[in-house]
Amino acid sequence: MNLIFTVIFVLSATIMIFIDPENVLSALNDGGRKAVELSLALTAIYAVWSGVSAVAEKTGVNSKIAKLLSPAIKFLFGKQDEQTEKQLSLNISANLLGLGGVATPAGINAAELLSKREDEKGLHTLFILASTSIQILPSTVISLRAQFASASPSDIFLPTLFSTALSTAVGLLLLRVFSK
Amino acid sequence: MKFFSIIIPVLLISLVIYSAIKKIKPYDAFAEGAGKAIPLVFSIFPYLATILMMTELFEKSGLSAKLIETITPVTDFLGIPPEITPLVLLKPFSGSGSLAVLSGIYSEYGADGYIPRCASVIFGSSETIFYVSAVYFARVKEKRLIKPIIISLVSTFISTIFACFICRVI
Repeated sequence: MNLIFTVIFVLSATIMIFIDPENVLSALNDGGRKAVELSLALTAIYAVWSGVSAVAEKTGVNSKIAKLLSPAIKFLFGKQDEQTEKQLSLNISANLLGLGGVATPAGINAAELLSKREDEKGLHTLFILASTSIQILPSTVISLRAQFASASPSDIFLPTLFSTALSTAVGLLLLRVFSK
Repeated sequence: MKFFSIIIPVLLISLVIYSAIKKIKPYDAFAEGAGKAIPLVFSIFPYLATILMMTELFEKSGLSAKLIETITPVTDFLGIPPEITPLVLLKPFSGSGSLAVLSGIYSEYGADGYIPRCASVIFGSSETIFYVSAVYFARVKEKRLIKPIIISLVSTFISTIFACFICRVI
């Protein structure tokens, strides 16, 4: 990110010196103002969804789903000890539900446990699952569209689901193909 | 598409009822969670601000238009509209940055129609790959992640092309 920032910032600002030097500062201010506006919108959206996910977490819905996932985890990761399997299913179920706050710590634990046993294939599988994102309900996108007065904010539900399922499937398939 | 607009309300109602059955105080739990929104926004604000300042310069200088123009033959061929190319390029690197770009697309084109929907699907179906590689594997010593990173980028790219296609259909 630092490299991208440096390159874009220096190039753009240099071009601006030649075409429109007066507006370098006002462009930066515009960016800042947009960030403030977006932050306000996001505060509202996150207040809703962190509230919801706190309730979900307390009811233990995610550990129920984690249990349902157990066969899928056995299939993807092979035989694992109880602790690893628990962290993996917690990570995957939380990611499915869009509970990033729960998913990340579990993912870090699972990665550590897998690396201790030098399970490179397991690590790679975990990475593909996490980085191709398998969220069922794109809550932030739907809420943000609602804030921008969309007529039907949730009409992206199915295309998003198909698309994210495709990326995960392709990822797992490629991993199978390219690991001996 | 009426069915999908009732999914979220129905889920929320079931969740609150279920929590009441399980004798969890839904009001307290919700309030506790909602409070976490402020620190969350605080933590991403620095990145939102920096990325938005950067993209503002990037656009005003005409560099963004030039870059998009340069790769348009490729993205055109793949069916990716030029308006969302910046989102596609930024998503693997920065979640808050690409969220900023997504909201920029909404304010320019509205939240409905092909371009915004396509952008929504791409944002919602992909992940910040480099963030995952940094955070999940922070405590893993040996990081031989080049292979899975490339695989992730390739599969995300394939699903991006797919998303641009499927948004024309549904």
